[in-house]
Amino acid sequence: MYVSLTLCLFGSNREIVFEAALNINKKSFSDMAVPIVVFSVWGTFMSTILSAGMVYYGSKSISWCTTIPFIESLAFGSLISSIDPIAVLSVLNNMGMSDKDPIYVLIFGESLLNDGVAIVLFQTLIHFMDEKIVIDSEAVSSIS
Amino acid sequence: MKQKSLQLIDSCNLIIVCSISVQCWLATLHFLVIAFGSLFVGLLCGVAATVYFWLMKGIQTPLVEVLMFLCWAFIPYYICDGVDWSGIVAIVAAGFFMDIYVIGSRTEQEPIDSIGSVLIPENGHANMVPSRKRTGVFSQEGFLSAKAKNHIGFVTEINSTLMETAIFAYLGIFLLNKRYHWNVIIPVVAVVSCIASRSVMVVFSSAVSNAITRISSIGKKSLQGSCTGSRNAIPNGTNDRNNKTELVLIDARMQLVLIFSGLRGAMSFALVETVPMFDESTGEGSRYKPELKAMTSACIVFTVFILGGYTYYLLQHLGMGPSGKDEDGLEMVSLMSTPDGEEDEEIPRIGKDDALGPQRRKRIFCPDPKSGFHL
Repeated sequence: MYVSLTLCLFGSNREIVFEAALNINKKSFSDMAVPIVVFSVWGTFMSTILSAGMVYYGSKSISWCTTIPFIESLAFGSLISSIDPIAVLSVLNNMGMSDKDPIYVLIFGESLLNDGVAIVLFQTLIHFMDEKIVIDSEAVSSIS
Repeated sequence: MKQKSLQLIDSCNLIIVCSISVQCWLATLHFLVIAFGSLFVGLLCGVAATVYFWLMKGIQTPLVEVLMFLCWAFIPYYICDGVDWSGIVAIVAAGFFMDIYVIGSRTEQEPIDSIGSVLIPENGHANMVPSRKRTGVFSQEGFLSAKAKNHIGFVTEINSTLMETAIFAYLGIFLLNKRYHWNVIIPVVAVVSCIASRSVMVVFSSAVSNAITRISSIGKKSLQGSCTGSRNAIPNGTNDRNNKTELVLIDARMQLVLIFSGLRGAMSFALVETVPMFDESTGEGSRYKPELKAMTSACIVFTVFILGGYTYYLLQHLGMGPSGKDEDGLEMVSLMSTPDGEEDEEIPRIGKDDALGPQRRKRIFCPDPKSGFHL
């Protein structure tokens, strides 16, 4: 029951994303292509790494809470970087904005594309959730 | 003895560093393969769908057209799912492609009745008018019947709203579940990191995006300048319009709105549900799933209720709020359609250049923004 619910939930994303991809105004989208791509690709990477770093070092430095390992922090960073298009748009629509407004198109485009980037990042990180791979701060600092 | 042990430590460190860098490379490669592979599958399915609808133009009934459209949309998802790639990327690529080439732009005026629906002949087969000349496969004119075009957007929106509501209901139910490890500190750390990372990201990405836009506009201006200098052929109107569309700079007000509009929602929750639980026998999975779920839920609740609720006041404060409306600042649209003639005129129609998405959403989502609840 629990597994099937989870599968159902993950499968439901496709409906949401497909609807958003279908209905976005392609002309406005292409006009705002540069900021959208910068925000959704570069921004998602940056946001993932920043949130992961903050969660990892934040939970590590506070002694009375569980330390979240680095891989889990990165996975959290990637999943929290995806912006929900529908929740955002329902707010902006009520402000009387339409897809002719640059800010509206930017937010919609960003939320649409960064879902894809965040999901791929997340799936990649899930593959590395393995106890045999030890990634801690020493390992990370030794690379850098 | 001491030297040997030091050598051993050094070699161990080297092995760890090597394995970590190898893992990093593997992760990057994995990411690139998934991203581009899924994109390719999505585009390929989009091309196949376009060819299919081009061949079947005028043969299928509108119902079959809508069903086949949805089937074609989900084929790339399942293909990518089968090979462990990202179905979402594929479905976005396919959605873009199919919107441009299969739905296309409405070039001919279809007859519309008083409630905004496209008038269909008695037999219900709007596309049974065989007189249309077959155009090129990628002509962007669209190969669907008027009725199918009119309904695809609506059907997909119903599906999407249902799924969104189901996910939020699930989130609400499981907030008090035992699987959550609630602890005051970790959710606070998560919320702070979520807001702080978004703020830094928005400021930095805006700077990058503005720089790229400025450089490209300078490049185009100089190109246009040389063209107009040599030929004087570009009319002023076109020039102005080009400059207007290209120079979209993200100022401080927009950055603030972008930070506040970073609402996390169903997607994050659905993703955290897919984190594998720790498996003792294989050593794979995460021991911290309950913490991750609590962190994600805290971020969703905070962003949706606090940030989402405050966005209305922020936009008003910045002067970007609703203008020319009543004092409440909100035009409440009833969920049930009324047979009012004035509203009927506002019913949008599917087309490439109209504002169908937002206007249609306006009918469905009509919450009070002051309450801060948006679904």
